[in-house]
Amino acid sequence: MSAQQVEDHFPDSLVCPILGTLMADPVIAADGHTYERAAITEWFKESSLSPMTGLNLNSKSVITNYALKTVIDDFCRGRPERIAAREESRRPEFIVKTMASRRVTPETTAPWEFDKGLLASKTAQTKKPVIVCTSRTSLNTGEGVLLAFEPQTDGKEFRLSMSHPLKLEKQHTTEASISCMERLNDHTFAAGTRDGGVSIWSLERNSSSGRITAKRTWAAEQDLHYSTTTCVTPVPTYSLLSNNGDSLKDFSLVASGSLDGSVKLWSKVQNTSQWKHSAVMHHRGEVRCVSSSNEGHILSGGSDWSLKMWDPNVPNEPVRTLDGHTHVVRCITTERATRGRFASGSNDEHVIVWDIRQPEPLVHKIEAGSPVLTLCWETGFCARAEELRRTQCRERV
Amino acid sequence: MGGWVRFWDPRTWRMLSDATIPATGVKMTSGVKLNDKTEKYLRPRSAHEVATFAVNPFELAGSKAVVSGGDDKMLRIWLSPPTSDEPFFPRASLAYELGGDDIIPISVDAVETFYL
Repeated sequence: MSAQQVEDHFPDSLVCPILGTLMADPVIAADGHTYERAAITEWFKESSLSPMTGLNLNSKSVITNYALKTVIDDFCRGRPERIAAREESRRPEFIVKTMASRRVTPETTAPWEFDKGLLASKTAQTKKPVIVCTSRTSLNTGEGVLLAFEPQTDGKEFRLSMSHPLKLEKQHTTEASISCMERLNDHTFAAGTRDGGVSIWSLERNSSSGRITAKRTWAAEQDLHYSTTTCVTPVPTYSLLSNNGDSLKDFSLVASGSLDGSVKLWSKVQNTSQWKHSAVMHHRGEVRCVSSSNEGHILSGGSDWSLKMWDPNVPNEPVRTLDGHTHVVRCITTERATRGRFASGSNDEHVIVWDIRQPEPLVHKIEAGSPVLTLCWETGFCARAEELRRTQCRERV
Repeated sequence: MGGWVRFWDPRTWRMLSDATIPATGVKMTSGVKLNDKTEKYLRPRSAHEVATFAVNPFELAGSKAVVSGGDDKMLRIWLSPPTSDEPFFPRASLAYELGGDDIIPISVDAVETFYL
Protein backbone atom coordinates (compact mmCIF):
# COMPACT_ATOMS: atom_id res chain seq x y z
CA MET A 1 0.00 0.00 0.00
CA SER A 2 1.46 3.31 -0.97
CA ALA A 3 1.64 6.34 1.24
CA GLN A 4 -0.73 8.10 -1.12
CA GLN A 5 -3.31 5.36 -0.74
CA VAL A 6 -3.18 5.71 3.01
CA GLU A 7 -3.54 9.44 2.66
CA ASP A 8 -6.69 9.09 0.54
CA HIS A 9 -8.39 6.84 3.08
CA PHE A 10 -10.23 8.77 5.76
CA PRO A 11 -10.49 7.21 9.21
CA ASP A 12 -13.77 5.31 9.61
CA SER A 13 -14.66 7.35 12.67
CA LEU A 14 -14.79 10.53 10.55
CA VAL A 15 -16.89 9.04 7.75
CA CYS A 16 -20.70 9.00 7.73
CA PRO A 17 -21.80 5.34 7.64
CA ILE A 18 -24.73 6.26 5.39
CA LEU A 19 -23.01 8.48 2.84
CA GLY A 20 -19.52 7.03 3.06
CA THR A 21 -18.01 10.50 3.00
CA LEU A 22 -16.23 12.75 5.45
CA MET A 23 -18.83 14.32 7.76
CA ALA A 24 -19.41 18.06 7.84
CA ASP A 25 -22.10 18.21 10.53
CA PRO A 26 -21.82 15.03 12.61
CA VAL A 27 -24.72 14.19 14.91
CA ILE A 28 -25.31 11.35 17.36
CA ALA A 29 -28.54 9.37 16.94
CA ALA A 30 -30.36 7.33 19.56
CA ASP A 31 -28.41 4.23 18.54
CA GLY A 32 -25.21 5.89 19.73
CA HIS A 33 -23.75 6.07 16.22
CA THR A 34 -22.73 9.29 14.51
CA TYR A 35 -24.06 10.32 11.10
CA GLU A 36 -24.04 13.34 8.81
CA ARG A 37 -27.03 15.42 9.93
CA ALA A 38 -28.60 15.75 6.46
CA ALA A 39 -28.21 12.02 5.80
CA ILE A 40 -29.81 10.79 9.02
CA THR A 41 -32.57 13.38 8.68
CA GLU A 42 -33.32 12.07 5.21
CA TRP A 43 -33.17 8.51 6.52
CA PHE A 44 -35.67 9.21 9.28
CA LYS A 45 -38.22 10.47 6.76
CA GLU A 46 -38.87 6.86 5.77
CA SER A 47 -37.52 4.68 8.54
CA SER A 48 -37.39 4.50 12.31
CA LEU A 49 -34.68 1.84 12.19
CA SER A 50 -31.04 2.43 12.96
CA PRO A 51 -29.00 2.50 9.73
CA MET A 52 -26.20 0.72 11.58
CA THR A 53 -28.02 -1.93 13.57
CA GLY A 54 -31.34 -2.26 11.81
CA LEU A 55 -33.10 -2.03 15.17
CA ASN A 56 -36.02 0.18 16.10
CA LEU A 57 -35.01 3.51 17.58
CA ASN A 58 -36.92 4.99 20.48
CA SER A 59 -36.29 8.49 19.25
CA LYS A 60 -35.43 10.24 16.00
CA SER A 61 -33.82 13.18 17.77
CA VAL A 62 -30.13 13.81 17.17
CA ILE A 63 -27.46 15.74 19.04
CA THR A 64 -24.51 17.52 17.49
CA ASN A 65 -21.28 15.65 18.07
CA TYR A 66 -19.12 18.69 18.81
CA ALA A 67 -16.07 16.63 19.79
CA LEU A 68 -16.01 14.81 16.47
CA LYS A 69 -16.77 18.02 14.57
CA THR A 70 -13.65 19.56 16.09
CA VAL A 71 -11.61 16.51 15.16
CA ILE A 72 -12.84 16.70 11.55
CA ASP A 73 -12.15 20.43 11.37
CA ASP A 74 -8.60 19.81 12.56
CA PHE A 75 -8.28 16.93 10.12
CA CYS A 76 -9.27 19.19 7.22
CA ARG A 77 -7.35 22.30 8.21
CA GLY A 78 -5.02 23.36 5.41
CA ARG A 79 -5.99 20.37 3.25
CA PRO A 80 -8.14 21.51 0.30
CA GLU A 81 -8.86 17.97 -0.90
CA ARG A 82 -10.21 17.00 2.51
CA ILE A 83 -12.27 20.15 2.72
CA ALA A 84 -13.73 19.35 -0.70
CA ALA A 85 -14.60 15.84 0.45
CA ARG A 86 -16.25 17.24 3.56
CA GLU A 87 -18.27 19.78 1.61
CA GLU A 88 -19.56 17.01 -0.64
CA SER A 89 -21.58 15.81 2.35
CA ARG A 90 -23.47 19.12 2.39
CA ARG A 91 -24.69 18.95 -1.22
CA PRO A 92 -28.42 18.10 -1.15
CA GLU A 93 -28.35 16.43 -4.55
CA PHE A 94 -25.52 14.15 -3.42
CA ILE A 95 -27.38 13.16 -0.27
CA VAL A 96 -30.65 12.46 -2.07
CA LYS A 97 -28.92 10.43 -4.76
CA THR A 98 -26.93 8.40 -2.25
CA MET A 99 -29.88 7.83 0.05
CA ALA A 100 -32.07 6.64 -2.79
CA SER A 101 -29.62 3.86 -3.47
CA ARG A 102 -29.41 2.77 0.15
CA ARG A 103 -33.00 2.67 1.28
CA VAL A 104 -34.04 -0.41 3.19
CA THR A 105 -37.43 -2.06 2.92
CA PRO A 106 -38.75 -3.62 6.13
CA GLU A 107 -38.79 -7.42 6.15
CA THR A 108 -41.68 -9.62 7.07
CA THR A 109 -41.23 -12.16 9.82
CA ALA A 110 -40.00 -15.53 8.66
CA PRO A 111 -41.48 -18.77 9.98
CA TRP A 112 -38.04 -19.85 11.18
CA GLU A 113 -38.16 -17.48 14.09
CA PHE A 114 -39.29 -19.78 16.83
CA ASP A 115 -40.51 -18.76 20.25
CA LYS A 116 -38.00 -17.15 22.50
CA GLY A 117 -36.26 -19.72 24.64
CA LEU A 118 -36.57 -22.55 22.21
CA LEU A 119 -34.63 -23.71 19.23
CA ALA A 120 -36.34 -26.59 17.48
CA SER A 121 -34.76 -28.95 15.01
CA LYS A 122 -35.82 -32.15 13.32
CA THR A 123 -32.27 -33.10 12.55
CA ALA A 124 -30.33 -32.64 15.77
CA GLN A 125 -29.64 -36.09 17.21
CA THR A 126 -27.04 -35.40 19.82
CA LYS A 127 -26.65 -33.87 23.24
CA LYS A 128 -23.68 -31.89 22.07
CA PRO A 129 -22.84 -29.13 21.63
CA VAL A 130 -23.77 -26.22 23.82
CA ILE A 131 -24.13 -23.15 21.65
CA VAL A 132 -22.75 -20.06 23.29
CA CYS A 133 -23.56 -16.60 22.09
CA THR A 134 -22.04 -13.41 23.37
CA SER A 135 -24.29 -10.42 22.94
CA ARG A 136 -23.69 -6.74 23.06
CA THR A 137 -26.51 -5.12 24.97
CA SER A 138 -27.92 -1.69 25.54
CA LEU A 139 -25.56 1.22 25.58
CA ASN A 140 -27.40 2.33 28.70
CA THR A 141 -26.67 -0.72 30.78
CA GLY A 142 -23.12 -1.20 29.63
CA GLU A 143 -23.38 -4.95 29.85
CA GLY A 144 -22.58 -7.88 27.70
CA VAL A 145 -24.54 -11.10 27.95
CA LEU A 146 -23.35 -14.66 27.65
CA LEU A 147 -26.09 -17.00 26.48
CA ALA A 148 -25.88 -20.77 26.31
CA PHE A 149 -28.23 -23.13 24.49
CA GLU A 150 -28.30 -26.84 25.23
CA PRO A 151 -29.83 -29.76 23.37
CA GLN A 152 -32.65 -31.43 25.28
CA THR A 153 -32.86 -35.14 26.01
CA ASP A 154 -34.60 -36.01 22.76
CA GLY A 155 -31.92 -34.14 20.87
CA LYS A 156 -34.48 -32.23 18.85
CA GLU A 157 -34.73 -29.06 20.84
CA PHE A 158 -32.30 -26.53 22.14
CA ARG A 159 -33.24 -24.51 25.17
CA LEU A 160 -31.72 -21.43 26.64
CA SER A 161 -29.82 -22.68 29.67
CA MET A 162 -27.98 -19.58 30.72
CA SER A 163 -28.23 -15.84 30.39
CA HIS A 164 -25.44 -14.26 32.32
CA PRO A 165 -24.50 -10.57 32.39
CA LEU A 166 -20.87 -9.84 31.70
CA LYS A 167 -19.57 -6.62 33.13
CA LEU A 168 -16.70 -5.25 35.11
CA GLU A 169 -17.45 -4.43 38.72
CA LYS A 170 -15.25 -1.38 38.69
CA GLN A 171 -17.45 0.41 36.18
CA HIS A 172 -21.11 0.10 35.40
CA THR A 173 -21.01 2.36 32.43
CA THR A 174 -21.29 2.08 28.71
CA GLU A 175 -17.52 1.82 28.54
CA ALA A 176 -17.50 -1.52 30.32
CA SER A 177 -19.68 -3.37 27.86
CA ILE A 178 -18.30 -6.39 26.06
CA SER A 179 -17.04 -5.58 22.58
CA CYS A 180 -15.52 -8.91 21.55
CA MET A 181 -15.12 -12.43 22.78
CA GLU A 182 -13.24 -15.56 21.76
CA ARG A 183 -13.14 -19.07 23.10
CA LEU A 184 -9.77 -20.13 24.52
CA ASN A 185 -10.58 -23.72 25.41
CA ASP A 186 -13.63 -25.80 26.23
CA HIS A 187 -14.62 -23.83 29.28
CA THR A 188 -12.79 -20.55 29.00
CA PHE A 189 -13.34 -17.34 27.06
CA ALA A 190 -11.39 -14.14 26.70
CA ALA A 191 -13.35 -10.91 26.32
CA GLY A 192 -12.56 -7.36 25.35
CA THR A 193 -14.47 -4.32 26.56
CA ARG A 194 -15.26 -0.88 25.23
CA ASP A 195 -13.05 0.74 27.84
CA GLY A 196 -9.99 -1.06 26.46
CA GLY A 197 -10.06 -3.85 29.00
CA VAL A 198 -9.37 -7.55 28.65
CA SER A 199 -10.87 -10.24 30.87
CA ILE A 200 -10.99 -14.02 31.18
CA TRP A 201 -14.23 -15.92 31.85
CA SER A 202 -14.88 -19.54 32.66
CA LEU A 203 -18.03 -21.62 32.31
CA GLU A 204 -18.94 -23.94 35.14
CA ARG A 205 -21.76 -26.38 35.61
CA ASN A 206 -23.24 -26.84 39.05
CA SER A 207 -23.22 -30.59 39.63
CA SER A 208 -26.42 -30.57 41.70
CA SER A 209 -28.60 -28.07 39.88
CA GLY A 210 -27.10 -28.60 36.45
CA ARG A 211 -27.09 -24.88 35.84
CA ILE A 212 -24.31 -23.28 33.87
CA THR A 213 -22.71 -20.18 35.28
CA ALA A 214 -20.14 -17.83 33.88
CA LYS A 215 -17.49 -16.53 36.21
CA ARG A 216 -14.96 -13.84 35.49
CA THR A 217 -11.67 -15.21 36.70
CA TRP A 218 -9.43 -12.28 35.77
CA ALA A 219 -9.59 -8.75 34.39
CA ALA A 220 -6.73 -6.46 33.47
CA GLU A 221 -6.42 -3.59 35.91
CA GLN A 222 -3.44 -1.93 34.31
CA ASP A 223 -1.86 -1.71 30.87
CA LEU A 224 -5.32 -1.49 29.34
CA HIS A 225 -5.80 -0.34 25.77
CA TYR A 226 -6.50 3.37 25.42
CA SER A 227 -9.60 2.72 23.35
CA THR A 228 -12.12 -0.04 22.62
CA THR A 229 -10.74 -3.56 22.53
CA THR A 230 -11.97 -4.79 19.16
CA CYS A 231 -10.65 -8.34 19.09
CA VAL A 232 -9.08 -11.08 21.20
CA THR A 233 -7.55 -14.41 20.25
CA PRO A 234 -5.71 -17.30 21.87
CA VAL A 235 -2.13 -17.72 20.68
CA PRO A 236 -1.16 -21.40 20.56
CA THR A 237 2.26 -22.92 20.41
CA TYR A 238 3.16 -26.11 18.54
CA SER A 239 2.73 -28.24 21.62
CA LEU A 240 -0.73 -26.88 22.24
CA LEU A 241 -2.18 -28.09 18.97
CA SER A 242 -3.91 -31.43 18.78
CA ASN A 243 -2.90 -34.03 16.20
CA ASN A 244 -5.33 -32.82 13.61
CA GLY A 245 -4.41 -29.28 14.43
CA ASP A 246 -7.91 -27.92 14.77
CA SER A 247 -8.49 -27.88 18.49
CA LEU A 248 -6.73 -26.00 21.24
CA LYS A 249 -6.09 -28.15 24.27
CA ASP A 250 -4.55 -25.47 26.43
CA PHE A 251 -3.47 -21.88 26.22
CA SER A 252 -1.12 -19.52 27.94
CA LEU A 253 -1.09 -16.50 25.64
CA VAL A 254 -3.88 -14.16 24.56
CA ALA A 255 -3.55 -11.31 22.09
CA SER A 256 -5.92 -8.34 22.02
CA GLY A 257 -6.30 -5.58 19.43
CA SER A 258 -7.74 -2.13 19.87
CA LEU A 259 -8.90 1.02 18.13
CA ASP A 260 -5.85 2.66 19.73
CA GLY A 261 -3.73 0.88 17.12
CA SER A 262 -2.04 -1.56 19.46
CA VAL A 263 -1.96 -5.32 19.75
CA LYS A 264 -1.23 -6.44 23.29
CA LEU A 265 -0.03 -9.81 24.41
CA TRP A 266 -1.16 -11.24 27.73
CA SER A 267 0.53 -14.28 29.27
CA LYS A 268 -0.83 -16.55 31.95
CA VAL A 269 1.02 -16.59 35.25
CA GLN A 270 1.79 -20.22 36.01
CA ASN A 271 -0.28 -21.97 38.67
CA THR A 272 -2.57 -18.97 39.17
CA SER A 273 -5.64 -17.53 37.50
CA GLN A 274 -3.74 -14.31 36.87
CA TRP A 275 -2.53 -12.95 33.57
CA LYS A 276 0.01 -10.24 32.88
CA HIS A 277 0.75 -7.86 30.05
CA SER A 278 3.86 -9.10 28.30
CA ALA A 279 4.27 -7.25 24.98
CA VAL A 280 2.77 -4.59 22.75
CA MET A 281 2.81 -4.26 18.95
CA HIS A 282 1.66 -1.34 16.84
CA HIS A 283 -0.25 -0.74 13.64
CA ARG A 284 -0.49 2.61 11.87
CA GLY A 285 -4.22 2.73 12.52
CA GLU A 286 -7.06 0.99 14.31
CA VAL A 287 -6.66 -2.76 14.85
CA ARG A 288 -9.85 -4.57 13.83
CA CYS A 289 -8.88 -8.23 13.98
CA VAL A 290 -6.33 -10.58 15.49
CA SER A 291 -5.72 -14.26 15.04
CA SER A 292 -2.81 -16.64 15.36
CA SER A 293 -0.98 -18.79 12.88
CA ASN A 294 -0.27 -22.46 13.44
CA GLU A 295 3.36 -21.50 13.95
CA GLY A 296 2.49 -19.40 17.00
CA HIS A 297 2.68 -16.05 15.24
CA ILE A 298 0.13 -13.35 15.94
CA LEU A 299 -1.77 -12.05 12.91
CA SER A 300 -3.40 -8.64 13.00
CA GLY A 301 -5.18 -6.37 10.57
CA GLY A 302 -6.87 -3.02 10.63
CA SER A 303 -7.40 0.38 9.13
CA ASP A 304 -3.88 0.65 7.69
CA TRP A 305 -5.07 -1.98 5.19
CA SER A 306 -2.22 -4.32 6.01
CA LEU A 307 -1.98 -7.71 7.60
CA LYS A 308 0.94 -8.04 10.01
CA MET A 309 2.54 -11.16 11.38
CA TRP A 310 4.26 -10.88 14.75
CA ASP A 311 6.63 -13.08 16.71
CA PRO A 312 5.48 -12.80 20.35
CA ASN A 313 9.10 -13.04 21.47
CA VAL A 314 10.22 -10.17 19.21
CA PRO A 315 7.33 -7.71 19.24
CA ASN A 316 9.19 -4.59 18.15
CA GLU A 317 8.85 -5.24 14.42
CA PRO A 318 6.44 -7.46 12.50
CA VAL A 319 7.96 -10.60 11.05
CA ARG A 320 6.07 -9.88 7.85
CA THR A 321 3.68 -7.28 6.52
CA LEU A 322 1.24 -8.59 3.95
CA ASP A 323 -0.23 -6.06 1.55
CA GLY A 324 -3.08 -6.90 -0.76
CA HIS A 325 -6.22 -5.38 0.66
CA THR A 326 -7.27 -1.90 -0.40
CA HIS A 327 -9.41 -1.01 2.60
CA VAL A 328 -9.80 -1.84 6.28
CA VAL A 329 -8.99 -5.48 7.14
CA ARG A 330 -11.96 -6.70 9.21
CA CYS A 331 -11.35 -10.38 9.92
CA ILE A 332 -8.76 -13.16 9.83
CA THR A 333 -9.20 -16.91 10.03
CA THR A 334 -6.52 -19.58 10.14
CA GLU A 335 -6.74 -22.99 8.55
CA ARG A 336 -5.70 -25.26 11.40
CA ALA A 337 -5.11 -28.30 9.22
CA THR A 338 -2.38 -26.71 7.10
CA ARG A 339 0.59 -24.79 8.32
CA GLY A 340 1.09 -21.33 6.94
CA ARG A 341 -2.37 -20.83 5.49
CA PHE A 342 -4.96 -18.29 6.57
CA ALA A 343 -7.52 -15.94 5.04
CA SER A 344 -8.50 -12.33 5.60
CA GLY A 345 -11.61 -10.33 4.79
CA SER A 346 -11.88 -6.62 4.23
CA ASN A 347 -14.09 -3.65 3.55
CA ASP A 348 -12.56 -3.76 0.07
CA GLU A 349 -15.09 -6.55 -0.62
CA HIS A 350 -12.50 -9.27 -1.05
CA VAL A 351 -11.31 -12.34 0.80
CA ILE A 352 -7.61 -13.01 0.41
CA VAL A 353 -6.12 -16.44 1.02
CA TRP A 354 -2.53 -16.30 2.20
CA ASP A 355 0.13 -19.02 2.31
CA ILE A 356 3.32 -17.72 3.87
CA ARG A 357 5.24 -20.78 2.71
CA GLN A 358 4.90 -19.59 -0.86
CA PRO A 359 7.27 -17.06 -2.46
CA GLU A 360 4.21 -14.98 -3.26
CA PRO A 361 2.03 -15.37 -0.15
CA LEU A 362 -1.13 -13.99 -1.74
CA VAL A 363 -2.37 -17.24 -3.28
CA HIS A 364 -5.96 -16.30 -4.06
CA LYS A 365 -8.17 -13.26 -4.03
CA ILE A 366 -11.93 -13.85 -3.95
CA GLU A 367 -14.30 -11.11 -4.98
CA ALA A 368 -17.10 -10.91 -2.43
CA GLY A 369 -19.11 -8.00 -3.76
CA SER A 370 -19.64 -6.48 -0.34
CA PRO A 371 -17.63 -5.89 2.82
CA VAL A 372 -16.50 -9.04 4.62
CA LEU A 373 -17.08 -8.70 8.36
CA THR A 374 -16.32 -12.16 9.67
CA LEU A 375 -14.70 -15.37 8.47
CA CYS A 376 -14.23 -18.88 9.74
CA TRP A 377 -12.28 -21.70 8.16
CA GLU A 378 -13.22 -25.30 8.71
CA THR A 379 -11.82 -28.32 6.96
CA GLY A 380 -14.12 -28.93 4.04
CA PHE A 381 -15.62 -25.51 3.83
CA CYS A 382 -14.89 -21.90 4.45
CA ALA A 383 -17.75 -19.72 5.65
CA ARG A 384 -17.93 -16.07 4.91
CA ALA A 385 -20.35 -13.54 6.24
CA GLU A 386 -20.62 -10.10 4.88
CA GLU A 387 -22.62 -6.98 4.81
CA LEU A 388 -24.79 -6.57 1.73
CA ARG A 389 -24.71 -3.29 -0.03
CA ARG A 390 -28.16 -1.87 0.33
CA THR A 391 -28.24 -0.86 -3.31
CA GLN A 392 -28.94 -4.50 -4.05
CA CYS A 393 -32.17 -4.41 -2.06
CA ARG A 394 -34.17 -2.36 -4.47
CA GLU A 395 -35.21 -5.27 -6.67
CA ARG A 396 -37.05 -7.01 -3.90
CA VAL A 397 -40.79 -7.38 -4.33
CA MET B 1 -31.30 -8.46 1.74
CA GLY B 2 -28.74 -8.30 4.47
CA GLY B 3 -25.88 -10.22 5.93
CA TRP B 4 -24.78 -13.18 3.90
CA VAL B 5 -23.29 -16.40 5.18
CA ARG B 6 -21.58 -18.03 2.23
CA PHE B 7 -19.50 -21.14 1.82
CA TRP B 8 -16.42 -21.59 -0.29
CA ASP B 9 -14.52 -24.67 -1.38
CA PRO B 10 -10.91 -24.18 -0.25
CA ARG B 11 -9.66 -26.45 -3.03
CA THR B 12 -11.06 -24.44 -5.89
CA TRP B 13 -12.16 -21.21 -4.14
CA ARG B 14 -15.49 -21.64 -5.85
CA MET B 15 -18.48 -20.45 -3.87
CA LEU B 16 -20.46 -23.52 -2.87
CA SER B 17 -23.62 -22.06 -1.46
CA ASP B 18 -25.47 -19.34 0.35
CA ALA B 19 -27.02 -19.84 3.75
CA THR B 20 -30.20 -18.02 2.82
CA ILE B 21 -33.72 -18.27 4.15
CA PRO B 22 -36.14 -19.08 1.34
CA ALA B 23 -38.79 -16.55 0.49
CA THR B 24 -42.11 -17.91 1.69
CA GLY B 25 -45.30 -18.56 -0.21
CA VAL B 26 -43.99 -17.90 -3.69
CA LYS B 27 -41.74 -20.02 -5.83
CA MET B 28 -38.40 -18.37 -5.92
CA THR B 29 -37.65 -19.28 -9.48
CA SER B 30 -40.83 -18.01 -11.10
CA GLY B 31 -41.51 -14.40 -11.87
CA VAL B 32 -44.51 -12.43 -10.67
CA LYS B 33 -46.41 -10.35 -13.23
CA LEU B 34 -47.39 -7.03 -11.80
CA ASN B 35 -50.09 -4.64 -13.07
CA ASP B 36 -47.55 -2.64 -15.00
CA LYS B 37 -46.53 -5.88 -16.81
CA THR B 38 -43.12 -5.83 -15.26
CA GLU B 39 -41.89 -9.13 -14.01
CA LYS B 40 -40.26 -9.31 -10.62
CA TYR B 41 -38.78 -12.14 -8.68
CA LEU B 42 -38.91 -12.95 -5.05
CA ARG B 43 -35.43 -13.46 -3.77
CA PRO B 44 -34.49 -15.62 -0.82
CA ARG B 45 -33.71 -13.76 2.36
CA SER B 46 -30.09 -13.70 3.33
CA ALA B 47 -28.89 -15.14 6.60
CA HIS B 48 -29.36 -11.91 8.54
CA GLU B 49 -30.96 -8.55 7.88
CA VAL B 50 -28.09 -6.24 7.04
CA ALA B 51 -24.91 -7.60 8.57
CA THR B 52 -23.57 -10.86 9.95
CA PHE B 53 -21.23 -10.28 12.84
CA ALA B 54 -20.10 -13.76 13.77
CA VAL B 55 -19.91 -17.23 12.28
CA ASN B 56 -18.51 -20.44 13.68
CA PRO B 57 -18.52 -24.04 12.45
CA PHE B 58 -19.19 -27.10 14.58
CA GLU B 59 -20.39 -30.69 14.39
CA LEU B 60 -24.01 -31.58 15.01
CA ALA B 61 -25.28 -35.14 14.76
CA GLY B 62 -22.23 -36.02 12.73
CA SER B 63 -22.92 -33.29 10.22
CA LYS B 64 -21.17 -30.04 9.60
CA ALA B 65 -23.04 -27.11 11.01
CA VAL B 66 -22.51 -23.38 11.26
CA VAL B 67 -23.91 -20.99 13.84
CA SER B 68 -24.25 -17.34 12.88
CA GLY B 69 -25.32 -14.17 14.64
CA GLY B 70 -26.40 -10.94 13.00
CA ASP B 71 -27.75 -7.46 13.35
CA ASP B 72 -31.32 -8.79 13.28
CA LYS B 73 -30.79 -10.16 16.82
CA MET B 74 -31.09 -13.67 15.45
CA LEU B 75 -28.93 -16.62 16.24
CA ARG B 76 -29.19 -19.09 13.36
CA ILE B 77 -27.83 -22.58 12.91
CA TRP B 78 -27.24 -23.94 9.43
CA LEU B 79 -27.03 -27.65 8.77
CA SER B 80 -25.96 -29.66 5.79
CA PRO B 81 -27.78 -32.93 5.04
CA PRO B 82 -25.99 -35.73 6.88
CA THR B 83 -25.48 -37.76 3.74
CA SER B 84 -23.34 -35.20 1.97
CA ASP B 85 -19.75 -34.79 3.03
CA GLU B 86 -18.92 -31.98 0.67
CA PRO B 87 -19.88 -29.54 -0.57
CA PHE B 88 -21.73 -27.91 2.26
CA PHE B 89 -25.37 -27.16 1.45
CA PRO B 90 -26.71 -25.25 4.42
CA ARG B 91 -30.33 -25.39 5.51
CA ALA B 92 -31.88 -22.89 7.87
CA SER B 93 -32.48 -25.38 10.65
CA LEU B 94 -32.56 -23.52 13.90
CA ALA B 95 -33.24 -19.95 14.86
CA TYR B 96 -33.38 -18.07 18.11
CA GLU B 97 -34.44 -14.48 18.54
CA LEU B 98 -32.47 -12.80 21.26
CA GLY B 99 -34.49 -10.83 23.77
CA GLY B 100 -34.02 -7.19 24.61
CA ASP B 101 -34.25 -4.08 22.52
CA ASP B 102 -30.70 -3.88 21.35
CA ILE B 103 -29.00 -7.20 21.93
CA ILE B 104 -26.71 -8.00 19.05
CA PRO B 105 -24.63 -11.18 18.98
CA ILE B 106 -20.99 -10.35 18.52
CA SER B 107 -19.53 -13.79 19.05
CA VAL B 108 -20.94 -17.26 18.61
CA ASP B 109 -19.33 -20.56 19.44
CA ALA B 110 -20.09 -24.18 20.09
CA VAL B 111 -18.56 -25.79 23.15
CA GLU B 112 -18.53 -29.32 21.90
CA THR B 113 -16.84 -30.99 24.84
CA PHE B 114 -18.55 -29.10 27.61
CA TYR B 115 -19.90 -32.29 29.15
CA LEU B 116 -16.49 -33.88 29.56
